[in-house]
Amino acid sequence: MKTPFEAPIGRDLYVVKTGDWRFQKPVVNSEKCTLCGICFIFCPTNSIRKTKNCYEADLDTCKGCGICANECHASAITMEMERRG
Amino acid sequence: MSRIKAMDGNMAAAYGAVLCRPTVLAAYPITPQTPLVEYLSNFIADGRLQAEMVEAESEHSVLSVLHGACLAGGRVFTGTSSQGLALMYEPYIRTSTLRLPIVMAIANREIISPQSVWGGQQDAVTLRDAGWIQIFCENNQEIMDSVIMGYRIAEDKDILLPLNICYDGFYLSHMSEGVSIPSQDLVDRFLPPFTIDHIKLDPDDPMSVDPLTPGDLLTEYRYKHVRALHKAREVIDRVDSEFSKLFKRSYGGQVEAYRTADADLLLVTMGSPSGTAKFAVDLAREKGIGVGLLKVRTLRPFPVEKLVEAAQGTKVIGVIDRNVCFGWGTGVVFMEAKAALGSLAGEIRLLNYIGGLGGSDITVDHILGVIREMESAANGKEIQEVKWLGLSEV
Repeated sequence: MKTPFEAPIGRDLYVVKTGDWRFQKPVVNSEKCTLCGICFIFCPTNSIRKTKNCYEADLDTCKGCGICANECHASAITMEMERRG
Repeated sequence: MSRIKAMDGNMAAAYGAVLCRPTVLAAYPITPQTPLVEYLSNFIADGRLQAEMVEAESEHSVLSVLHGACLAGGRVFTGTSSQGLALMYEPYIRTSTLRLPIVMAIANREIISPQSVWGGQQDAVTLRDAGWIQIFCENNQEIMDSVIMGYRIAEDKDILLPLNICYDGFYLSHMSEGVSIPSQDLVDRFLPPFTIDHIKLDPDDPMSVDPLTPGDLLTEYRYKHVRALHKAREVIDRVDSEFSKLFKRSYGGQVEAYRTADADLLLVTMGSPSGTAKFAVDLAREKGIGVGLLKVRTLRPFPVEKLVEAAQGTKVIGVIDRNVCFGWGTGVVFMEAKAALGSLAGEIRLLNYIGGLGGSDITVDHILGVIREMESAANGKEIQEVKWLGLSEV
């Protein structure tokens, strides 16, 4: 058994690792990133995290939709194809 | 001290619920359950029950309100019938999959169309595969006692499932008979206060209830649900025997066997026709016919082993259904019985009689006729498998 629970409950909201659905991932060029945060605002799965000098996607939940890359004014984000098992 | 009072089935259900000290009630009136809502409201207005009554705008909301109340640790109660149950369909299933031990009365009424307010078990049997425990009652005393036992079964930590107390509309819901009301003290000794810990709404221990669940976990929850419903069989029998020690009344748990010990012919009924059938069995026995009755109390979980046990040594089984099983052209209990007795097929002749639909009567004469046919079948006569009582052409 994978869960000790009798009924469907979760200890946090993201029970499903939506990152499993992804076939392309956002790669951020930290030199181009202006730290405007528009990628953070538009991300539908709330996967964008701020690091020291730019923003990055949490690949556990990033579905690879590409909205961040599309919205980025500085064209700092590109979508890279992934080969996954 | 217990006392005896004349009451209809709805009042028996209300008394049973009140004795279990529910903290939240919600209901929407629908014939023939309506008096149940009135009785419960009266109990609160008279100050005899300290509980909140939510008069919701629909049955869908009734059950949804009770989900929240139960998740917050409340013991809750409601009742409905027919279209009301149909409107509950979506939260009805979530009640069982969230494993909420809610007890709900169903005053059985035909599902329309054809337009009808009268009795028939089609409402509850249609939802037999929604993961609830469903108990059908023969008389008003059994309704009250089953509500009290119902909470013990539903809240058992190995079970944690919602439970229906089903009673035939008008035949039981509106007919009065003497019912013994147990003392509050006795019920308190039988039924401990309710606590919920497997799933709950608690700001000090936050959890998300019913999050998006992937297939592997869903499979596991389904498995645990099915296993709990399976285990409910032994809990239902055990709770009945504990109940009988304290209250001096017993219903047999999953089934009640009546004069079956040496029976060649076995009648099978569910709900209010069981009383009529017992009377008919007594009349037939006076004439030397070896007939007995097995009253099915739990449609879910279906008492497979009990039925197989009772069928041993019999030649013909006649199942009387107040409902139909669409697609099989039989009644529901018959279809279930046939599946349960698969290993005995060929040795035992199975006959089905459908009647009592839309409030029509299943009379003593009907059942005596059924017994005569079963006797003929036992003597080798070819009898049509399914017959409709009161439909002369078939």
